[in-house]
Amino acid sequence: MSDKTQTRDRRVNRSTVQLAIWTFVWVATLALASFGPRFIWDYNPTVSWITIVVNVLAGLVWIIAHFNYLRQVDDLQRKIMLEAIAIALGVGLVGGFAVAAAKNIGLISFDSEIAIVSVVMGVVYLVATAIGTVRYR
Amino acid sequence: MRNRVKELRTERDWTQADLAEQLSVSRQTVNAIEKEKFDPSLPVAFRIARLFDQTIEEIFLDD
Repeated sequence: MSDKTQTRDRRVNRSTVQLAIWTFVWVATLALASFGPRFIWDYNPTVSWITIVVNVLAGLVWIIAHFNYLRQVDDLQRKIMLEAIAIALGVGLVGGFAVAAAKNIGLISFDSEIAIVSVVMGVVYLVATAIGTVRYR
Repeated sequence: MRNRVKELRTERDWTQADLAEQLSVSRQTVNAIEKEKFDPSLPVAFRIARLFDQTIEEIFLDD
């Protein structure tokens, strides 16, 4: 394998690891901000605000890590991921607003939490990535 | 967009993996370009042209 290919592979691997680490950090800080007030610091507002700010900062770094990751992967992988992101974002927006509208006019009674939209978007992203990978094989 | 990448590669007895390594892309990308499922970016198209010592227009043919 040539030095250039090894360097590219190393760059991709490094950005993949960084993305995985920052994804974990963001999820961990989100869990802390969500459950910490109830189980650890008894709803102390100062601590709660600090964890929210830390979570947002971790989220910003995660966005940058994702951006860097997309820059490192090759053309086709980037196309597959961008298409998957577009589908996931579309499903999230269309589905989210449709559920919100239905809730507002009383068509549905269950609680539509934003966490559900995030999970749906994540699943759609994974499925769309898998389909894209098979499609361009 | 039609292209002659497979023809040029097989003329040189290169595998898709060989070509992918020289272009610094994945083998899947080379396969998708050869099957005309995917048009490469301009930088990759220039690398292909340089590698085969031809112009981009000689390799990629407008439909």
